[in-house]
Amino acid sequence: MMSASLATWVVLLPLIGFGFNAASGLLLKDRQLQRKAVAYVAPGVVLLAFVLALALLGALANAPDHRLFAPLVPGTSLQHPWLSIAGFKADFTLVIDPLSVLMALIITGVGGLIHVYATGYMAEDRDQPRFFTHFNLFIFMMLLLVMANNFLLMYVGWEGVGLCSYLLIGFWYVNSDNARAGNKAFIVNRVGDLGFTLGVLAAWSVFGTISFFNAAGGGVMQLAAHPGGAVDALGHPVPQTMLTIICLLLFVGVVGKSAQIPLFVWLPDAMAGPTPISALIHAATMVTAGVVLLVRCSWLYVQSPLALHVVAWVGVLTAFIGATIALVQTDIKRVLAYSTVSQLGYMVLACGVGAFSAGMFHVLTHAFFKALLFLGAGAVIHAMLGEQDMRRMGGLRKYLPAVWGVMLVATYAIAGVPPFSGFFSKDPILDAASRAFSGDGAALYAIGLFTALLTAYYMNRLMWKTFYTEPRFVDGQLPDKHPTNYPEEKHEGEAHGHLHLVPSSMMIPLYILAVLSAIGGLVLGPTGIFERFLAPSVAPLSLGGLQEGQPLFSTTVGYIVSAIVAIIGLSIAAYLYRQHMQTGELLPEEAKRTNLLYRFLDARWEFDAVYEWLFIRGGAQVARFLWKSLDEEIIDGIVEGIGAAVAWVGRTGRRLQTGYVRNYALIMFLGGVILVIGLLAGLMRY
Amino acid sequence: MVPTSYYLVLSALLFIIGTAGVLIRRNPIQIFMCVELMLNAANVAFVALGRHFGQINGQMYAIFSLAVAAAEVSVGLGIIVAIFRLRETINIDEVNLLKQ
Repeated sequence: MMSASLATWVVLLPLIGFGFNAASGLLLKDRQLQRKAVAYVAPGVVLLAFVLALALLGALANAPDHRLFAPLVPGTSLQHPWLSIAGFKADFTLVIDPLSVLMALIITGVGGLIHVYATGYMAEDRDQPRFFTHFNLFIFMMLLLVMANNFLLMYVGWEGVGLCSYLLIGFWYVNSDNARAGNKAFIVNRVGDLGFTLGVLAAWSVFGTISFFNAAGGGVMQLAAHPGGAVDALGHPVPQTMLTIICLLLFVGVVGKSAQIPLFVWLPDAMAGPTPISALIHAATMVTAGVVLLVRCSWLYVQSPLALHVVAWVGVLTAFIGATIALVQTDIKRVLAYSTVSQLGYMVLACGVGAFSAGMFHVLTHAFFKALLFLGAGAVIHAMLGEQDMRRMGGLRKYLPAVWGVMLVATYAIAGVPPFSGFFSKDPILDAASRAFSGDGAALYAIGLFTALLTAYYMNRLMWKTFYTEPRFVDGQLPDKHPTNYPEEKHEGEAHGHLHLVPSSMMIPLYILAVLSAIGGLVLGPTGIFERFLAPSVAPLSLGGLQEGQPLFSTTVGYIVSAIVAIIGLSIAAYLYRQHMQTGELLPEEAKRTNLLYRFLDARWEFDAVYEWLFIRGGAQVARFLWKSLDEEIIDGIVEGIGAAVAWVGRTGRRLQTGYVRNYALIMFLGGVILVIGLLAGLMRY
Repeated sequence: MVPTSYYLVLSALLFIIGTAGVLIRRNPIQIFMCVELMLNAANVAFVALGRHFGQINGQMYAIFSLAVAAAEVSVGLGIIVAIFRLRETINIDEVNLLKQ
């Protein structure tokens, strides 16, 4: 069991790093020492965790059923309870199976590279300890999420990464826009988390357990995989309606965390954080948590065709909408953000048509090339002293040839040009979509393929605007003052239009990711290594009695079509921008204002406007009604009315007290008369 | 023999006159006299009813009430003298400190 308990340390190492960074930020007074300490420890623990995760890979190969368990707290037994309330049991157990090890490798591997990169990117930031503290905490939470063996422990990680995302989006909190973007991400994710919570409770009430797997059987996924249909802990069959409800509720959580329509609006705003955060959290790892959840629960999903159908369509529409919005973005990071939304849509689509392993493969390749794109964009932004608007870039190929090179690799990868990695992960998804069990494979395939065309186009648009067209930053068009994240600090002595050098700590991770983006897909995809590796973790469609539909055409033709579409998309962008080398703009400003389609895309399909109108204004209206009408008029009316009535009685009653003895005597007399009349009336009755 | 009801009507009339006087008059001496009138109206009723029922109680209470009335008048006149010494008037409309 020595090897399985390595998993404990994979998870705990980043937590130790978190503690160390927090302590050094608080205790070390010397800024230089502080920076040096965190810059070595933070990437160090993550890379060490990566090495341990590689060792887990070896342990897994020898394990029966390709599944091992490890306690989260070292030295405790596997059954060590965390919670046990009236039949609701949860323990601190980690599961080691191909899915969790794959994700652990992505998180610690790509995450470690981004840590190294961040030591260069954040070198001038005064709050480096805080940055790396949150960064390590994020890695810990993410590992907890993917390796947890029950829904509740996963939920801790799920919320933990949400918290870290919030903290890091608002890292430069001095600017209230950043803080607001953090709030938006947190609040929109709450909507999804509510669905996730209800899904977990539904799963518990149906199955009577929340563990995914147990060594002796009886975990939720093992019960769901019961031959002849899912059963609960007592062996009674579970109705399909309940499975559908569980799956749809869990999918609400996926929609929130993985930025699907209609909850994707938080992800582009999350770009307010420093670029390494965008790369790590909002591209490579956290947003794929939803896909991980789908794959983890694939045993449930394959038994609910309705839920899968919903998943597939939400995914493909997200892919399409994300790509169309990316067409018109001018902020380099926002293009990438919408492309992330779009690529997440592909992954969810893959899960929706039952191609879970293709979806996970796209998670893997996407982690490589999207991290590379973000880090490359970060290098550009770093060189441009914080400028993110592509309208003020151009011609950077001459100044940043290495960055241009790696960005080109990433662009080809995401566009799906063979033999780059995106080609081998995107095409299987399209292929699986065309053979969807639900029979609407042609529609899914068509939308997916068109989205691939858009993807190739907007990525090459980004390349042209940034690297090829005439420079637009030297001729006095840069803003007068360089944007800085702390108003009181100034970049001294850095002249207009000068480019910053990109340090090697930032370039080395780029090279590594570029190699992975270039050949990772070719090595793992067509050879079948990846699919065979992941197979024990994903449910086959046949478990739910579902059949793949007829393919539109053979796999080889599909490959060729995908490749041609990618090259067409790239070529259109190149052709169009070649004609506008000077400005780097296809449409004049005037046309941008009047073109309805452009305005619709620029307004992100009006999603934000609808939310603004429906929830923010609507919420304000409801609040105003409760405040003005309910509270101030009705409740305050009652309270103040009682007070006023008492005062009125007092004011009126005061007049009785005249001080004249006669008046008192009269009242006494009248009282006597009433008394006598009353007595007489009482006597008369007898 | 005069019927009992006549005495009671007389008693009631005396009582009403007394009450009216108490309420209307401003001179405390007159008010006292009216109070006496009310007391004696009650005495008339006591005695009349005592005779009507052939019981001695009525006359007995009338004697008691005369004694109480004498005591009350002596205390009341004492208060009036004290008020006059203090304020140099006995008009009860000017003696309205109870209002405070």
